[in-house]
Amino acid sequence: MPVPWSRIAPGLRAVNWRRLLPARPEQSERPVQQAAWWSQSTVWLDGHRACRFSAAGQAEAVFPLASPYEISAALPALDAMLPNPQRPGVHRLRLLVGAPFACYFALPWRALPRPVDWLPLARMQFVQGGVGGAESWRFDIQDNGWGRPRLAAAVPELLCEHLTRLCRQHKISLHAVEPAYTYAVAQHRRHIADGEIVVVELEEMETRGAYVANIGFRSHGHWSGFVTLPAVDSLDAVLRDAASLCDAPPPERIYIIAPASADRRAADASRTHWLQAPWDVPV
Amino acid sequence: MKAIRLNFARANRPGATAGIVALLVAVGALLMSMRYLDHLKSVGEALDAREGAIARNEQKYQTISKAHQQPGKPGADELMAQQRYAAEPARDLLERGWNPNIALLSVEVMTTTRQINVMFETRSVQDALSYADWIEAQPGTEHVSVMRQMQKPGPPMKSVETSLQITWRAAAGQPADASAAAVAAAPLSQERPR
Repeated sequence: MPVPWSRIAPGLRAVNWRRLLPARPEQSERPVQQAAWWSQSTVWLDGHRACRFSAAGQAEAVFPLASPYEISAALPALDAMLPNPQRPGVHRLRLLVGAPFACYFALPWRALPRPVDWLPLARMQFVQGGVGGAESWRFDIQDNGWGRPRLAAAVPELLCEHLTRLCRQHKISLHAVEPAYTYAVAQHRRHIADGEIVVVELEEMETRGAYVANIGFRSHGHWSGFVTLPAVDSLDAVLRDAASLCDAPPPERIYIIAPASADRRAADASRTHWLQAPWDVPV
Repeated sequence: MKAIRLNFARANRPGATAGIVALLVAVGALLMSMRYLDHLKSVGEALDAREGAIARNEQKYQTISKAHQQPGKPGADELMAQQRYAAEPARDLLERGWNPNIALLSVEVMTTTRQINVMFETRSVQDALSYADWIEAQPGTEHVSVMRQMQKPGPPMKSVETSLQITWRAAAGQPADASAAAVAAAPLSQERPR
């Protein structure tokens, strides 16, 4: 008679598989790890600090920016944070770009087939936002189906070019340059149920308790509005402001992707779902 | 929720899924059309083969028919002899069953369809039918049908005119001495009491 899988699975999980592996002396493990030919690291960059994470997610090094919110200060921070592989091999780097260096736009639907065709729309929104000239920024628009609004993001062109040059010099493969918001949402996509929702991502500023809130509104499975606001006091007030700025209806659920240190009593508890941010930047 | 990542290292690339799906569909369509072409080709070859066989047959018939017009050619005599012999089994069949009470009016032997149309006259209906029965009983006969029978009232004497259609077998394979036995059985209608 076949034994059902549901009866086997707990037993399999209970078995300590590691015990079955041949024992390895503790001393030899460390040098092997150090001179690995393969590595993956993530570098976080926001307006105040740059930080490097190992593949496991631990913070390896932190570098505060000489002058906050300055792109000229961010480039030497990137230099300092770049991993220095001992052996040639496959070394992948992912850069996560935080608050002042990443801008987000929700673009309403136009009959434009390719992502490249959407670039003028994103540039126009950027200029209307009043941040400055759109020439020195690189835009990326997600590809999506016909009839669906797009989410676009922009990071400084200088940052991308500098990083590409650095990676070529250090023989590191630049795996991805991702804005923090889309990265966090992609990490938590299984925990976010679609509908009339708000997805908020909080990034810590200089001091504890002060955040930059990237607030995206979704309705009917699309991004309908996006706004970035400072969140210094009550999150409810910030969400109210955001809803009025984006002209969005009151949401069914609120998802907040925040660092572990965030005060979870700060928002309306009945509709709010707290999610752990995939990075843990020391302040 | 479905999340699509943004990557500035490779910015503004359209998704690869649609292209890959289109490529796979195209490859599938190509394979299907190639198989269909092969199928059509094999059908065409079969048709060609059939047509070739028909053409060869026709050529054979033509050489046979032309053999009459060009005597002295090598093989022509043989073909003519073959053709002459083709009517031989039919004639043999008719002759063996013949008796002096039967007057053959016309005999038409068609070798291609293996048919004989015979028209003959007898003194009585029994004579005619027994002749037809005898022909039907022969192993070389496939089928006999009486097409028409007509009684002629006449001042000199009454007579019955009958026309038969006989189909004989192509290769009856009669033994050499079978004809003698058949001849012995033939004049059955004569001995039969009226």
